[in-house]
Amino acid sequence: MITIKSPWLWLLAIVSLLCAWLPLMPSIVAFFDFPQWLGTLDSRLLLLLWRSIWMSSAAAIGALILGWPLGLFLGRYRFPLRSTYLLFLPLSLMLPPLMVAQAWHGLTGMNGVWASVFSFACCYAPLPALLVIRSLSKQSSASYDAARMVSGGLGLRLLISHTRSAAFVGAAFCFIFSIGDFAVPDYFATVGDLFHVYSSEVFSNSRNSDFTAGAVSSLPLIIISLAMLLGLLPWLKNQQQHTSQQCAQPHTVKHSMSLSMFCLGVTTVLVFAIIGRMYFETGMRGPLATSSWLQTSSKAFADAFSLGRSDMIRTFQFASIGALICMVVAPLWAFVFHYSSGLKRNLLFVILVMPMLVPSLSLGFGSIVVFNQPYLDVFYNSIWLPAMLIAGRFMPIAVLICINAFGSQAAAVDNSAKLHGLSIGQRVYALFVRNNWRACLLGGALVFVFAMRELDFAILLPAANQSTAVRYYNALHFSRDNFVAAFGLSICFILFLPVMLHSWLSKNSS
Amino acid sequence: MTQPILNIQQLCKSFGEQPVLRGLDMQLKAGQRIAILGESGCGKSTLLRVISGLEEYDSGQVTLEHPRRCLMVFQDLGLWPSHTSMQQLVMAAKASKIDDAAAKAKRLLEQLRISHIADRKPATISGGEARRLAFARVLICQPKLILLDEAFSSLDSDNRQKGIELLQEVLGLSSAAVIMVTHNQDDATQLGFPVFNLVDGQLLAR
Amino acid sequence: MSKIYSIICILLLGACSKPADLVIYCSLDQDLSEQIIRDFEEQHDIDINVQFDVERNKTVGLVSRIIAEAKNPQADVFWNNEIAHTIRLKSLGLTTPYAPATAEGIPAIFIDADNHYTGFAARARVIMYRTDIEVNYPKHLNDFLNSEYAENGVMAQPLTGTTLSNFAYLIQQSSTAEVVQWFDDVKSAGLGFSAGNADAMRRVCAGDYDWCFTDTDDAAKAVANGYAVDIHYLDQGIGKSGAMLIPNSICLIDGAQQNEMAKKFIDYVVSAESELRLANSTSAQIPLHRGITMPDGIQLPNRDYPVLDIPWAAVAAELDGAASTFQELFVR
Repeated sequence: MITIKSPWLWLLAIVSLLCAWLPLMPSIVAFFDFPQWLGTLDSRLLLLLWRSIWMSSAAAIGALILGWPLGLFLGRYRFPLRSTYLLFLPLSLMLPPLMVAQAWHGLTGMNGVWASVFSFACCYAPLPALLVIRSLSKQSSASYDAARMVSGGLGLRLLISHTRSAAFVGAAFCFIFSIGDFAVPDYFATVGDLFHVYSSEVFSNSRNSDFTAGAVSSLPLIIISLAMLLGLLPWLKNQQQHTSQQCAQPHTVKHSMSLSMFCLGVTTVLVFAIIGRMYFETGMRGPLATSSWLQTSSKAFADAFSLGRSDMIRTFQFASIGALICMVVAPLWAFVFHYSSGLKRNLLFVILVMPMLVPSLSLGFGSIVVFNQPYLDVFYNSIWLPAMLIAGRFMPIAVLICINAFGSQAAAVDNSAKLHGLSIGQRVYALFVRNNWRACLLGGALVFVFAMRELDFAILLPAANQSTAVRYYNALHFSRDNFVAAFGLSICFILFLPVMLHSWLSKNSS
Repeated sequence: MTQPILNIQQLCKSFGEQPVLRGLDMQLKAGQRIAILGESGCGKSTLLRVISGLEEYDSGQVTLEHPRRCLMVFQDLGLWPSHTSMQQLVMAAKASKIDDAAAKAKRLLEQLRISHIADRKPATISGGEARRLAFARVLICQPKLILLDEAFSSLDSDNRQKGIELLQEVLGLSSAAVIMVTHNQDDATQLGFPVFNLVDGQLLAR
Repeated sequence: MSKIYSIICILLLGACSKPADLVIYCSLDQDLSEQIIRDFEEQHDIDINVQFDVERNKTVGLVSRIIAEAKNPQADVFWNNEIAHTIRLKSLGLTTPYAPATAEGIPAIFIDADNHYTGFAARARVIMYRTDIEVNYPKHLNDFLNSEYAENGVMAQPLTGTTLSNFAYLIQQSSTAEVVQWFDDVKSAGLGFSAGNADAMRRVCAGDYDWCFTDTDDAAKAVANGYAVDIHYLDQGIGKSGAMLIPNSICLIDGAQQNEMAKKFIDYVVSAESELRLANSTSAQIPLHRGITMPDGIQLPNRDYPVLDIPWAAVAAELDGAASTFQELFVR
């Protein structure tokens, strides 16, 4: 049904090739060493792999337990302080996982494997919650009301089945991000009993001068993540389609205070406790310090603004361009997936998600190998390179959200457009994007947030090196703890400011 | 003798192991209007989707003289949620390379007595208005063949009668051929269309 | 939506920049080195592009980047916060000789015989211990084997940074098997391990341990943050006493585009003035110029405490092998 004749699909192919596949090539070539690498698989590596798998699965389940009900309640019911919880929910995604880990250790003294699982669950619980809320905003009012009138239980069952795929996509991302992260397990290992995860092995291998060793040893993680995402695809496409133009709105419910208390509890775990602890850390000092807590904290914030300002602007630039590329290209990808099936669809999916699954370092080194050419110097040193890599790496997040949105759009909307002779561009941008701009914006926003947190290839690329993540981790390593807390909080609040303003203005105008 | 605008020979289509259309033959001349009757799940909608090109088929031949002038009114109308009525008509007309799209759209909205919803989006108009808009969007493209997929299935008896009257009114504005699929024989009888039965994947004249 | 696109378009316009006059890769703490570099930029009215490193994620960082960029070098100067990896770059033929005049007074053991790099402003590998309680801390590396010391102490895993260089040196002095055995023994004796030196320092500040094996700059930061701690220069000598000093090192990258300005920058950084600035910073780096007046609180190497002569080239040759050995040993 889809042919490559459309210029829009050529655009898709070229952008994807440039953003993701050219820098990926050196790693792909290295994958041919996998059989040889398998020969080195021993009990130590298998233990690491097993630990990574169960820890990430537990984190994903934790994210579901925290995020799914939160999303359901916030998306479907009205209760006291609902808008406040909705406002603060995205904030927790802006906190680097390591900061969440440090905050929880500072608050409770927790350590070890389960502390790591808990931190990941907290970090990524907003993903299922946000996706569930978005999915509920598209639920047919008629079908929900009909079920609710039969019984409250049936209404709830319908809510659960309607949001299931969105929640599972969020949890799948939690699994994928957790299994590739080693900073958090590394941190909890150092504050308690020492343990390691498989990604530590991948990063240790990447330290060698031959970076491809890291790429090869990451293949087990890539295969596991890929299988999980491929399994999710049919779910996403077979969303419950509704024909009504009316979407269900949040409604009041008995026990609204209990719901509010539940959401307060979860939001405290995900956001308030962490922010509070970080704020406390901005002024933390030893017993012999001559300055007060307030003086220490004020100096930390002053340093954060004066030293980090230009980094923030630069990071904002390349993260925005990356997110923008995703917002333009992801709906096209979603369109292609919607109309493909079987082997072709799975192959396309592998092509799409591979840049997100390979270690970030491999992608960074691949960019150096491919783009560090005398005739490309201007491009190599510009912010376009990190922007493109960000788009290539985090595109799957935006695409999966768009596939989900496409699946929930009534089939006749696009079918009628096709029969009327609308081009693919019109069908995607004039119809789908216009009708689902919140989904596209959410995809872009998530790409932006992940771009802000990206460290590994940021170190390797000229224009991304002076970024917030590099300054943050640099200060962290060199124990500028007050600065780290103040800088982290400043980034969060600067990112959060537009959200707050938007919320405040829309409240005042309504 | 006039050339058929639609010629179907030995059309076969299965979903997995389940055959739906089994060697179906059919011809339609310009301006000819027919109704296809059949039980739910017998393949009526599939036949329309195959004719319109929305669905691939397994074997046989489907020849449309004016493939770009074959349009469908869907069971759930398929209006574009983020466009006003006027925008829907203009966009459809432009895609079909119809000149003077805006003026024609305005005239059509007036003819169908829905000019008051010109600047409104589908979510803010009534069911009857939405149905008129769906027909208007098809008519503005000057179709040669209109496919109607269970056009009245979701309506109660009062509204069904109004729907049939609307369809008669709309079809009076066009000389297009029509294939209407329905599971309700009364619809076909009231419209005076010759009726064919779709049974076991074959089309049988009644 | 259109508003969002407009904002991003404005950002895109701001994304254009002209190429820098000098490109410096710097793995010393951004907080310490940035101002020194910006002052040079201002003095010469040039535009410097500085690229920093991060050790926290154990990334290959700037050294691997220089190796990967070898075909079309981007850096003019590499300012490394240690020395072994600079030697590795030299052995790969990625550096070019330059002898800064301002290095006069720095002992010859810190300067490459072929002038490919110059060492300056060092850190020492030390024991940092709490002073608010009575602490029995080790005075020699062999004391780590004694559980009386080990149970209350912590050190970084030797996977990266100065700790890796430290134990690569010990492998070079003895053997891989002996060092692996040493780690097995100190683990049995109850020694704690952390992700990095800063983490080890933090755990002592937090009261989890009484002492840690770390670098002087981490210890200096703990003091600056108001924690009751002090340092002891750990004797690591085998046969001969001495603490380990790890200097910063600076080198000219082969194929550097801005050769003259790059040389001026190297002169500026290895000068006694810059060493003093680093000594007076919160990281209290140890100046190497002979005859320099030491700031308060910094002890003079080979006067106040003995220092080991480290055969850095041989240590650098051990790095990769040591990293693999320790990965097998610790990443599990």
